[in-house]
Amino acid sequence: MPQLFKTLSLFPGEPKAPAKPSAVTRQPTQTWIAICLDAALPNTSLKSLAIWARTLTPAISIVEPNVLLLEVHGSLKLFGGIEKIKHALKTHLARRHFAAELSVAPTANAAVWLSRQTSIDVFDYQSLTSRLRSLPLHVTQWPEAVLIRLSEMGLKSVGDLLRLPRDGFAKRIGTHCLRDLDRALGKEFDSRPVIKLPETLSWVIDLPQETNNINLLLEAAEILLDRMMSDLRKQQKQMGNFEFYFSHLHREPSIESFELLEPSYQKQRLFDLFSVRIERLYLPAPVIALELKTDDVRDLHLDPPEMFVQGVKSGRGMDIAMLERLQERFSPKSIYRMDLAADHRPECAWLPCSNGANEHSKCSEQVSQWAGERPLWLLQVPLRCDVQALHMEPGPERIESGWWDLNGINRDYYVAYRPSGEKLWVYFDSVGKQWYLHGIFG
Amino acid sequence: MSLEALIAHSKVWKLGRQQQWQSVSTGFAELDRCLPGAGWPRRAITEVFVDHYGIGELRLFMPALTQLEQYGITWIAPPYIPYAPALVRYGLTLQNILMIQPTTEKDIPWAIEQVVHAHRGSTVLAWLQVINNTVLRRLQLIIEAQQAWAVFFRPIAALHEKSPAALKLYLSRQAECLSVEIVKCRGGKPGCVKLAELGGGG
Repeated sequence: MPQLFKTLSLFPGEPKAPAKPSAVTRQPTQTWIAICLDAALPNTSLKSLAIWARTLTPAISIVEPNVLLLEVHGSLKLFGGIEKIKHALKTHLARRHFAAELSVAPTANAAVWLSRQTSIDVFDYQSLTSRLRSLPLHVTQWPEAVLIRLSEMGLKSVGDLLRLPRDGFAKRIGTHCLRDLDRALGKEFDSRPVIKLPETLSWVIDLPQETNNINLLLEAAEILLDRMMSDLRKQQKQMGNFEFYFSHLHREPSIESFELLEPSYQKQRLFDLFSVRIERLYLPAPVIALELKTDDVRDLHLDPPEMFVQGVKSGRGMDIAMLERLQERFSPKSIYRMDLAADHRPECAWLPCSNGANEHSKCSEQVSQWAGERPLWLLQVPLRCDVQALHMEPGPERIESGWWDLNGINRDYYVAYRPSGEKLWVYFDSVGKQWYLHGIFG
Repeated sequence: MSLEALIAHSKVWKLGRQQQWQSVSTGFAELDRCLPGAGWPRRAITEVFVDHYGIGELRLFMPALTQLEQYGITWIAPPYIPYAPALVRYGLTLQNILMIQPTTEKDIPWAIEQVVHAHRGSTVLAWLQVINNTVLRRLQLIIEAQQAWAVFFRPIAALHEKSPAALKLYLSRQAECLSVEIVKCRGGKPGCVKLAELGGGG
């Protein structure tokens, strides 16, 4: 019973100050860079900057409306220090004519607040507090009502806030703001959601005029694939299936889908597929814009380069790009490998398998156990035949199987020769009382 | 350029010069004896003309195919289904075999070119109905450059057409034997071999 009273607050609506964190909190070492873009820049520039920044670190988050936040501690060694990373950022910003303030701090909030004021770098907790003290309150971007209230109380800088008692601050201003302050000072752990890539990636190019010219379309596709490749490589991604949208004036766009056997980031391979397709493509109207879209983005796995250049590779053998080109021109069904199936019915003893499959067949042992000979050629459909003129070898090999799936057979197979010398595989169907030709011994 | 250098050039051939043939044994001693490199010429086209399918036209090539299978074997436009269990019995590994059934006759040379380009040293078996000499020559050049071995099965009507093939064979059944008539043989002499036992596999 007393336990229950302890947890129930007398005034449920009353805010409770969070317990004051101990002075030395265990803090993961972090280095945050905040980039505060000029408010006049469009929102899209922040997104595109975020995508570019993935070359520096994967831990990127966006603080609305105009701050990009990078956690670069893990990248420091790779790039050779914070100055190199800052230099890369500044060069990129300058190249794109983005006006921005850049700040470095050991906590995310501090970096954001500093960048909103001016470009300052802080590298340790000791100097962090003194630096933050001088900041005006508007850098926190707390709700307008809170800021007005604070200024009415005569508080002008972050330093003024730090002088207030915690309990009173939480009661009057709110725990939310107190937490914010703790995070800025590194007294509370701050985790930021990492931005995700959009599900669907797309690249568009507008053509200078409506065109049916294949060469212009090829050029446009090449530019799109170039962009795609550089964007994906930066993010260590590759793509599986993709689509090309051909936009027409006053018409629905024509869509061409491409399926890959294996995901790819290689421009030439995809471009080859596109050129094979476009050669035989019928476009209902001239094209005004071309768009490359993919919703199948996967992590990039590069095979380690082989030490010896091998001409011989058993198993997969054939080049996957060649298979894709063939599939592009013919149908996927007309390019196949074969596998054995555990079935005594001759037509069910093999099956075509897709090109991706590369497992070793498990049925190979079984083949040698069969009694009779098997022909190298099998007819798609057994052909009714007359056995009068054939010379039959002694037999038969009786195959009676498959009753369980309603495609049961009951056949007596013979090897037979035609007078002209062909070696055939014929059977007598015990159900239909008919002779059929099923295979040729090649 | 000296005469020796000229003769040594890969595109110049001299009657009876054997070492120029990079070959693979046919698996039949009688046949090997009749061929200049003691085997099928690799890096070249072999044309095969058959009366009827079923007289042993595939069995003739099986021993060589099993030797070369690790380089990949592609079957293009076969007239019937190549039967996997039988291929396994002949010692082939199905993973090394690729089947291509082009949509139209015109696509066959393109498919051959793609396969030969993609995989150096591979083997191509193709069944061609119509093909002109220009296309064949183009294929011959690629096949030579890529060190492939191509076996083209062609209709009897094309037996005496001009062709860049290194070897032309006419197969027919005579009594119990498969008669292999060498119609044209680069660097060798025409002749005829009768093979009694082709082997059944397995």
